[in-house]
Amino acid sequence: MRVLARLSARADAAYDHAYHHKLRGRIWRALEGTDFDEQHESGEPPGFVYSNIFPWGEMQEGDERNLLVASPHESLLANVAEDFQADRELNVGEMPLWIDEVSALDVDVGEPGTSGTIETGTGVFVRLYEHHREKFGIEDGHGDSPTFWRPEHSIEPFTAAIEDNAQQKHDLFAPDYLPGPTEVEGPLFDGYELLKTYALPLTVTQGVEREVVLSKWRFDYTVRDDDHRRHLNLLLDCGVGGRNGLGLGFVNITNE
Amino acid sequence: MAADTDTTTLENRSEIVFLYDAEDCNPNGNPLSANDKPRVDETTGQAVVTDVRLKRYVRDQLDDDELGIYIRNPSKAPYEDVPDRDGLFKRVTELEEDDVEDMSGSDAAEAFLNNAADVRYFGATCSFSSEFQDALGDDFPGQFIGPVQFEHGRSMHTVTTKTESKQLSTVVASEAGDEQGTFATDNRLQYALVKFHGVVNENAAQDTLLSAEDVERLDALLWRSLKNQTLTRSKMGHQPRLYLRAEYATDDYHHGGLDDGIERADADETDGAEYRNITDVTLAVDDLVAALAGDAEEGHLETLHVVVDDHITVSIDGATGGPEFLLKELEEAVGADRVNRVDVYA
Repeated sequence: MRVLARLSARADAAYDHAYHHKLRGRIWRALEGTDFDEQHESGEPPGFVYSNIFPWGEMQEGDERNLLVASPHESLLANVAEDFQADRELNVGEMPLWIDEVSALDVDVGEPGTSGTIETGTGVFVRLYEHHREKFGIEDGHGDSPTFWRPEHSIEPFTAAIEDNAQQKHDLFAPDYLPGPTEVEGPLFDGYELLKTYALPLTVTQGVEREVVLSKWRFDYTVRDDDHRRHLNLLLDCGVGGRNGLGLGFVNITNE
Repeated sequence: MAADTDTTTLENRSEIVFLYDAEDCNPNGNPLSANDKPRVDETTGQAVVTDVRLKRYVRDQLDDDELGIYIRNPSKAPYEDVPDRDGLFKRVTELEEDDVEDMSGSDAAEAFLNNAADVRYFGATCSFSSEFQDALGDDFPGQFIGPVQFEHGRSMHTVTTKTESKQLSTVVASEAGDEQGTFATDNRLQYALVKFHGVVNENAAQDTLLSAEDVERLDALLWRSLKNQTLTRSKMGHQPRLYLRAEYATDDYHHGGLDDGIERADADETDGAEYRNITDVTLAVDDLVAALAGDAEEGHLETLHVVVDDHITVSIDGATGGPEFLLKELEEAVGADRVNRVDVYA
């Protein structure tokens, strides 16, 4: 499930590249006093992900922009939508925006047999932990610290890491009796097209900034069965890879 | 428009049993109640789902499959125009009043039925303006009786309701000025395993041109409609679990009450209010298997069309098992050559 907020710029502004932390703050503020508030510091995937303010680029007063917030929890989105409607100012760092309209969207990859493409709207955050490095023979002297995935590590550790991550989300958000992505035969995606990798300074918590390596992708899929459909739809609701609470790994269906 | 659908005359009657469940959602709201409460039989505590709700899923799926329907869903985009009664006919047939004037009423009816799959299945009452009715001619029927009839579905157990104060659809809908929407209460059922019973009448099929091909399509249609038409916010949480269509060889025969042969294995011990998902339920299907075996032995049963979900558990003669167990028991009871395991995505 998704909420689409249609925005307009309240003043001329350059695009604030350090938006992640600030936008996250606004969404958590919308959840203050709700059942979801206590998940804030839990360290687990928060159960939501969001796009950047799009289209990207500097804005002039009155320009129209959009923001999508996705979650498998309907009531989480309802709280966000209610807050967006009650408080129309959306100030994301140096970008002063106004929320003109809030609407709900349903997304679905389609029934078994459907082919399509999912594309990242924001960068994917993938860290390779020790068990990934051992399995794929990656040595970079980081010891116990995770390694950011880079193209030279090859595609296999990337797919293993995002499938492990998707399994973790499935364990959290799907009924126990249904098999998750690593519990079924077959991959999440048929094709992985790497569009680019880039490094970004990211404020992970207040006052703590880290340089992270992100990647943008185009994923091809053909829905195998109902389980696969659920796995892909969960990624549309939760995001691909880690740090979804910072708006990383937000994905869209681009070609059905 | 000339009739162009290759219809294979329907010769056999069928009886349908269809089970689906609804987890943490509202399977059928009652618009006459405050906040669209789920329909619940106050005496038995069972959830009730009307045949109209089930047929809406099917109509929406037919529409998505671009088969053409008469009674479209006004809430589904991108319908911008709301045609009048004459317009509905013209839209579905792509015929104008001049075309209709040149046709006999029965030819117009045939064109209508060939282009409105939902009317072939479920019938419709056709009421037009007097001018358009004159153009259609006296022999255009005012009403088509649907050959596919379902009874109201009921949960197989007592249901538990839950109430939440926020629901995305009401929150967003409130923006259009309906301030009450923000404060609307969202009523849901924790869990309901709903059982439907239906009959496809081959005699009534003659009047709506329902074909054998249409009935074969129904096997996948019901299943797919529950998968695809329940992804919106208020209906998210539905899953089809078991579909059986007993196709009979004997004229004018159907067993009747095949659905009565499916019960809860623990029905004597609990009212089922504590059920939360399909893994909590075991279906006792002894009477169903016995009824089908009897029909097969007496030569009534031609084919049993079956779809079984991966997660159901059944008990037969004291033994329990999953979908493969059920299918093997059915094959043993009626003969393997009589069981058609339907692939809904073929």
